[in-house]
Amino acid sequence: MNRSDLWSFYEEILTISIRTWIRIHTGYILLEMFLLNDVTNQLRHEIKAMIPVKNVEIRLVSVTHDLRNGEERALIELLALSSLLIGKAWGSFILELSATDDEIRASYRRTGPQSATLMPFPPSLKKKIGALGGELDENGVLCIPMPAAKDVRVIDLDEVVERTGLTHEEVHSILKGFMDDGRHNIRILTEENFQPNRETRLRAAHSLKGSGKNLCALELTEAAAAIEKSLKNGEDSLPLIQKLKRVWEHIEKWYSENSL
Amino acid sequence: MMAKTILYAEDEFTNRKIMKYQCERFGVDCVLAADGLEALERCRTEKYDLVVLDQYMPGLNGDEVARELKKIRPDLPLVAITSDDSYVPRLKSSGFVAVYVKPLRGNDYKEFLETYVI
Repeated sequence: MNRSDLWSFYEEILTISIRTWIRIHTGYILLEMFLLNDVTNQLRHEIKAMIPVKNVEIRLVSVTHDLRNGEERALIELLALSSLLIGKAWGSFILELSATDDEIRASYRRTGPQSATLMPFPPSLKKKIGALGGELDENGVLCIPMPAAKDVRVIDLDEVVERTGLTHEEVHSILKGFMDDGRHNIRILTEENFQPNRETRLRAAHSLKGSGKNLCALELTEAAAAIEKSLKNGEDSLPLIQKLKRVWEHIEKWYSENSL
Repeated sequence: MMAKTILYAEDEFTNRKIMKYQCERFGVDCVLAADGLEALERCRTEKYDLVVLDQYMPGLNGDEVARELKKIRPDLPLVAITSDDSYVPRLKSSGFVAVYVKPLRGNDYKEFLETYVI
């Protein structure tokens, strides 16, 4: 096991521990965990780039749902800045980032034996926090309302009609089969008690990716493609499957509102 | 005049359905095969004007089916459809007359149906 693998392993254990701690002690509903999604990678990179002090230990824990609404840029900048201030004051820290459907929460805690101690968010950042519509709670934890999803079309039927030349009626007639097949494939990938072999899982992910492409379901396509890739590479696909479940919930909701 | 018939081997529902609708527009019958083995079996007993093969299928992949079909029906035009554009050069050299990358546009269906069937 090389250093990078060790770090990943350590990080994963840490994440699970903290997630459990948060569940037990605060009752957060943590919908999804993306340890290494785009936001956390970007955040890690920017924080490291901003903090000029060497030997600063950063353990970034991301327990978040999909922060892809366009507002993540401002959040990343805010967290990079607050990490800079915290890093200067304390040297090492753990940044916990969590998200529910309603809000994003970010907090700092000390490392080592004092890791239970929360470090208040730098009060000098109140103006920037306010600009994001957020506030600090009594423990100094940053709370920002989850930005509403904008311009995200779960399934874009107009685009399907334009691309294929089919009529709206024909596309709607495809939808039901898409949902039936999709539910079956989601079950293959997500049900804990249902453990098909790798090839069956791979086909389920591939099929979801393909049908998602056909119906211009961008999020589904991306989520299924990521799982297919991770299965091909023999990687852990559990965090990606959590994301897929969430995406499918959006599709079910959309279907209940849009089916003829 | 008898309607032209194509065989489409594909295991994914939405692709099958879209192909059916596209063929209907051009008055072409579309027979479906759920995988490569079924496609091979059908080609042994039935005559088709064109065979369209998905590349990634259970049992036999599209290029493997094409290799077998070339032995039993060397003149039969074969079209490949793949979701992975890195497969295109390999499929083009596997005896397919045309290769398309998913998702297909309406004009793609029109193109191969008009060129090889109608």
